[in-house]
Formats: sequence, structure tokens, C-alpha cells
Amino acid sequence: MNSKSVVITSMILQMKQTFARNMFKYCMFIAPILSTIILGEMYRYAPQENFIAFVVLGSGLWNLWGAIAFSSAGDINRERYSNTLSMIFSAPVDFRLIWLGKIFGNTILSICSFFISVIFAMVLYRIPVQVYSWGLLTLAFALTIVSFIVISIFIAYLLTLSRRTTLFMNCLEFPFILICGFAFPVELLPNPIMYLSFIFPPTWAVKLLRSSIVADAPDYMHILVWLLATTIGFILLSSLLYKTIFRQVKIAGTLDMA
Amino acid sequence: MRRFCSQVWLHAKVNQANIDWLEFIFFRVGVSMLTLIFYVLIASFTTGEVDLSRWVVGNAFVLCTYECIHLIGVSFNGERFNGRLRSIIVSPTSKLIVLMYTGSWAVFSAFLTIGAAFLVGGLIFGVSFAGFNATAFIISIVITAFACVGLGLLIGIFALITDSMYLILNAIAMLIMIFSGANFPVEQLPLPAQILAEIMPVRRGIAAANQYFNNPIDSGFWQLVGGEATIGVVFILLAFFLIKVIEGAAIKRATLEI
Repeated sequence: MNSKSVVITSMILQMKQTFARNMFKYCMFIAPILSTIILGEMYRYAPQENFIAFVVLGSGLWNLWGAIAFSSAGDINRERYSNTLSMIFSAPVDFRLIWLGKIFGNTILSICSFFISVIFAMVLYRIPVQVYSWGLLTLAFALTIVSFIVISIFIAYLLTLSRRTTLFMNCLEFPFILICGFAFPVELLPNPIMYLSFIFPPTWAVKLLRSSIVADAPDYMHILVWLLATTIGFILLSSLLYKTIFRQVKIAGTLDMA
Repeated sequence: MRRFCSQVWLHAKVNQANIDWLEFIFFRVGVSMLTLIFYVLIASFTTGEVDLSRWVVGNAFVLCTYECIHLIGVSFNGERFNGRLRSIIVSPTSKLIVLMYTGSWAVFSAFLTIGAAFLVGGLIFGVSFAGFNATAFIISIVITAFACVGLGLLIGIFALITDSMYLILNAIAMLIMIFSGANFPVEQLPLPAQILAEIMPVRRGIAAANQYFNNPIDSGFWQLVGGEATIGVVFILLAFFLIKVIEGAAIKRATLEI
């Protein structure tokens, strides 16, 4: 089986399994609507450019991240509880390809929650579609997805080391939304936390998306460079981490419940 | 009464026994505080207000939904998972009393959560405690937790017939956030939503705590906490009448085991 077939097969299977879960249906259909209402009402009297940047995009990204983080981290937990994580890990096919397929599957489904949020916000609050450059926005969105996938892979690798997946999974959603400035500018955060946020690609992805919406985006290229640099950094870190955990999980025996 | 208290203590130990310091710091304290900080920062950005005490109080109160609704809501789920639900159903004890064991502890736990979140949040956002009316605040917390437990009991009995409790509980938690007035005035919502907000817990508790934050208690305070307590009593009565029907449906539909 070649690498492409492994990724595609894993992705399709993952999408079928994920869509069958009620909790994912919540993440996909209900959470986007409710979180959009919360952000929309909090920003109701804010200037229009803030409304698009922080409500329309903010709620979309909040749900995109929530769905990807919960499903990708939750999959480690589910596989471990089903005693199949060790089998996937020791299968002749590369674990990284199987997991990449799973994260692709989750991401494709999660993108739906992003668009549900965006469409709901625009219809409910009657926001006119005003985008500085559709080309730049499309590029920014594609890179945002890539950065989320990279972070998800990194987190999934980390979670193989611990049996406390449920705990960490529940701790993933808000810290990232808060630190990466999905719903307000990161400049509001205290300086040490703001500088910490610059390490994570989603912070730059959010800035890039906003930059492509507002007219005359002067710092688009600057943000783009930082996004690419941090994303590549996390890809390298993930591959180094994989080599370490490949050995560590066999020593610690954390792939099974017993 | 003695038996009830010993069962409450036993259920508390069951719920807390598997929590170690890591889980306590990350999940109970960390996520709760980050959730509060997230919403208060948005409020600070959107309103430009310097005095953020209203949002700190509101979001601290909303945190009690985890203890009072989530824990009770998934109580029967846990019993089903461990194969004890069938034994509970055939036992002569009222099923509502079984939920009350978890619920009674939840009121105490919610009291600690709200109190701690308010103090820490207050220190972070520079809330002035000058003239703080602790009595009004404590009464508001206890009554709000009681009303939430009532809703938790009502929702919790549906776990006998459905395996989608996490979906239902997460949606309810978001709805409470919207209808509580913690982050924006309920008057901003459309009329049907405002009517729905009248029968939701937490809203009056937050209003009482905010209005009497540094004012002496008067009849208006008792009206608010009285309304909140009435909502709790109505939910408990509804649960009392519904549980027999749900129990019968669960036996007919054979939903007591996995």
C-alpha cells in the first residue's frame, strides 16, 4: 500500500467514524451557532471592521480549532481505550501516515463548522461581504488550515505519551483560543503571554486572515513570513518529537490502558 | 438523613478520588480561570470599561454549570458504563435521590469554584472589594448553585434513555452562557429568547450578586434570589414527576445497558 492510499483510506474511515459521533455533530452544527451568538452579542456595538475580524472570523476559527483539537486529541484516547493504538503504532504502515489521514479527515469535517459559523454570523447580523482581496484571503485560509493541521499533529504525538488524554483534550480548547487571539487582539494580553503566543502558527494565521480582510493590508507579507517560519518550525519539532516518542512509548508502555 | 449524608460523601469520594493535583490544576482551576479571563478580556476590548467587576462576577457564576449540570447530567452515564444502572432501576430507592447524592456535593463544589474564580479573577482584573457585600454574594452563589442543580436533575434523568448526554449538556451550558446576562444584557436578544431567559437559572443570581455587590440587601435582592430559588424548585418538581415516565421508557427501550 503506497503512502497516498494509506492517507486517503485512513481519512475516509476517520470521516465516517467521526461523523457518526453525536459529540462531533455538536461541534459541527450546534457549537458554531451558539458561539457565534455569544461573540456577536458581545461585539454588537463594536465598529464594523472589528465585527468582521473578531466575530465572523473569530467564531469560525474558534469552532474550527475546537473541532480539530477535540477530534484529533480524542482519537488518541478512543484508539487507546479500544486497545488499537498499539496496533496502529506497530503496523507495517507508518503511524505518521495513518494519523495524518485521520487529521485530514477531521479537518475536512471541521471546515464545515467554520463555514457554518461564518454564514450564520453574516446572515444573523446582516454583515455585508467586504474583503480587501479574495486571493489573499484564500491563501491565508489555506495556510491557516495547514497551521492547524501541523499543531494538531504535534499535540497528537504529545498525547501518545500520557494516558491522561481526556484531561489534556479538555484543556486544549480555551488556552489556544485565548493565547492565539481568535476573539480579540493578542496585544491585549500581558507582554510575556503575548510573546509566547508568537511561537504558535495559529496566532500568525489569525493575523493573516484579518490582514487580508481589511483594506490596504500593508503587513501581509511580514505576517506571512512569520506564519511560514513558525509552521515550518513546528513541522521540524514534530518530526523530532516523533523520533523521541517512538522510543519512549515503547519503554513507558503508554499506548494501552493496562 | 444520616444515610443520605453518608451517600453524598460516598458519591463525592467517587467523583473526586481519581483527581490528582495535575488534573486539579489543569482542568478544575486552569480551564475555569482561562474561560473567565477569555470572556472578561473580550468585554474589556469591546466596551473599553475599566471596572470589569460585572463580567468577573457573571463569568465566575457561569462556571458552576460544570459541577451542577455536567456532573449530575453524566451521573447515570457513569452508572450505565459500570453496569450498575440496572441495579439502581430495580432498587426501591428513588432514582431522583440517587442523583441528589451527586447534586448535594455539587452545590458545595460550585460554591468553592465560584468563590475561588471570583477572588482570583478579581485580583487579575483589579476589582475593587471596597464595600463588598459578602453576605449578598454568598447567598447568591448558594441559590444559583441550587437552581442549577435543579436543572441538572431534570436533564440528568434523560440519561436513562439517551446516550447523547454530552451533546445535550454542552448545548445547555452554552445556552446558559447566552441567557445568563454574564457577558451582555439579555435585553439585546429577541423577545422569544428573552422569555426563554426568564426560565433559565443563573441570570437572577448574577443580577443579585452584581446589583448588591457593594449595596445593602433590600427587598429587591430577596425578589431576585427568591425567583432563582423558585426556578430550582420547579425544575426539581418537574424531574420528580418525569422520572417515572422516563424510567418506564428506559425499561421498554432497553437503554439501561451499553
